Amino acid sequence: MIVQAEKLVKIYRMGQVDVKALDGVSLSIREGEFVAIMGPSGSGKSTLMNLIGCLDKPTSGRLMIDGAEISRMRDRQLARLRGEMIGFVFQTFNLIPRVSALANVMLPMSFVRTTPKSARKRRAVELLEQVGLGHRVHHMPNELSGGERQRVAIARALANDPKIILADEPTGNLDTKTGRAILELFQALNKQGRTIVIVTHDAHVASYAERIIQLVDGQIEGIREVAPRGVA
Amino acid sequence: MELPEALRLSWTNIQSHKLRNSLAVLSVTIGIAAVIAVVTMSMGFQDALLSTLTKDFLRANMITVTVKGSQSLFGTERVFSERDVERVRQMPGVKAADVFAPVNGNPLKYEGRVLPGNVRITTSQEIIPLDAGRFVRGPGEVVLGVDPAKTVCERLLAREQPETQKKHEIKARCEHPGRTPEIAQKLLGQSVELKYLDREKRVHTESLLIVGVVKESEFISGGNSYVSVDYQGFTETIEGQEVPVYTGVIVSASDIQQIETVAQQLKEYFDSYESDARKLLGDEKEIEVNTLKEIVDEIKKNFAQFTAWIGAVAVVALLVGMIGVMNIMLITVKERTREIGLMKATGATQGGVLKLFLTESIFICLIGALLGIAAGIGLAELFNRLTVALFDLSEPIPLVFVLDWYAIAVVTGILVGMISGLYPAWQAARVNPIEALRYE
Repeated sequence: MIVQAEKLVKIYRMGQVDVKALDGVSLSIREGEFVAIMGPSGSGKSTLMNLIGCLDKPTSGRLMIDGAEISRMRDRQLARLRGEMIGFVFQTFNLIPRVSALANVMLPMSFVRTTPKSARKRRAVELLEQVGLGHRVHHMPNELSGGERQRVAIARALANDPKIILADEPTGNLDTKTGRAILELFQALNKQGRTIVIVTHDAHVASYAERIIQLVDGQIEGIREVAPRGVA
Repeated sequence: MELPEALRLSWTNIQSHKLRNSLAVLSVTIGIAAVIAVVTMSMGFQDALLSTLTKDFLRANMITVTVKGSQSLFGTERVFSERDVERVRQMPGVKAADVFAPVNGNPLKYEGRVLPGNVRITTSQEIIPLDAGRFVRGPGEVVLGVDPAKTVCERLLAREQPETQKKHEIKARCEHPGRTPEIAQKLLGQSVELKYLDREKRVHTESLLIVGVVKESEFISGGNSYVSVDYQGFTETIEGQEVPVYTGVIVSASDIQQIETVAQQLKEYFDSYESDARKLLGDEKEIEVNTLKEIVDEIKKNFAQFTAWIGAVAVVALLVGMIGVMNIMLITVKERTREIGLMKATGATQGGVLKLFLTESIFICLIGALLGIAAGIGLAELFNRLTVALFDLSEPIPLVFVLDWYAIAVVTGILVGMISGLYPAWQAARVNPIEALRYE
């Protein structure tokens, strides 16, 4: 199991009130799986994604990422785990606007030093080619379309060769056609053996996954195995 | 994150906000430039002063003895007797010893007109450099200072060609009387009048032949003329005897290596009641034995005090710069919150983020410091030219490149960057990535 969660609870303090964002969530994700976490806003799906992405620690419960228990990790160890194990893809792309697509893809490599310096550029170019942007390597983000920007973001997520890709509403800012292409790209990456976790409120987006985890009010309402769309 | 990447990110950020980052750089530049300009100028002035002193007026092996507290390098209190000088000449390591004193009388006159400057008595040819002629050898002769020589020259030329020459043309021709051979030729052989009191306090008026002109110097007043000891008018009674007394003794050591030993001997002699000077002075006042080193040290000390004062002003200027840079860095951190969140999500540690922003702040201040050094040198050169124009110096004060101060400026720049960047960088390091990635 690449992700194993047992009775995860996350409580936020908002002013005087405690808000239970996650209330005893247990789940596991196998390596190489394509999973969608679905739910309406406020269901706790973003909180769950932050926990799986090691951006946050649970209030109680156990969370293992690739066999490592994260709830007792220090910030430094978490940062390292994020850098090596997880590639994030965001709804708003979050590219650094001042540097080229290439430099954006290279950025995570300078935090996690697994790729030798001399090989970074070549690897970044290969990743951009892999997401279909071989001809846009030196473009600045504002010279790219939304779909292209998200492809740069995906290439960036792949920079340190992570086992898990975590995507938070990756098609939320894209039109349907572009969105479909991005989702197909995720499927292709999944085929190569990478674990993909997509967080979304959109049933159509979720239908690209093999398994859909439905969250409501911080609890798992149901888990469905589906025949993923578009895979022949 | 490695330095090249950090620098590249910082550089792209600095470039994308050129104006405000330029202003931040400028706030550091101004402080550094002010210090470098002042230091460069004062060092230049110090060096020029010292080199003129040592070249024209002080020999490295020279020692002066005066009563402490005199304003003049050559003393004001008349306590040194010829017997003292004789004793000094006997000391081992002493090559020559001479006396110094002002003449007890009126300023020189030329054709009834009073000449500027004072008249001094000395036997020492060694310390008075000349532009023309020779030093006085006995009574009836005078070496003119530059200022009185100019006045004599102007009178001479005006008399020679009363109609054709205009006043300012005459002035121009007499600008460097000792250095213009044609003028010097005319001056040597002219006579000036000296009215003085002799040892019996009788008034004498005597005509003196001009035999030389004192060397010009930018920093030492050119007013003093020199005559021989025959014109000494002051006496004191020492052990029942009336003897002439002088304001100072000038000693040259035979070997520059021995200068401290000779100075020590002089100090001992003049502190003991063997010396006439001590007998006249009693225990109250101190007799100073100055070597060139001490004079140079004294001058350097004065400049160092000045520099320390400038340093205090610089601290204030840099504080202002620091606030400017800190302000910009705080804005930068705020603006790049999402970027920080992303970096953290992709594996950057708190320390990594801290370093990134600290690098940027240091980078800004370092650019500021480097520009400040360049601007400071430029300013110093500008002021130099202004000084030359304003005070009519024949040649500019040479620029001194104060390398150690440049190093200090660079280090200061880095320090200012660290101090002003620390709080903003700490803010950046503490950014919560979850909130940052949601930040609009």
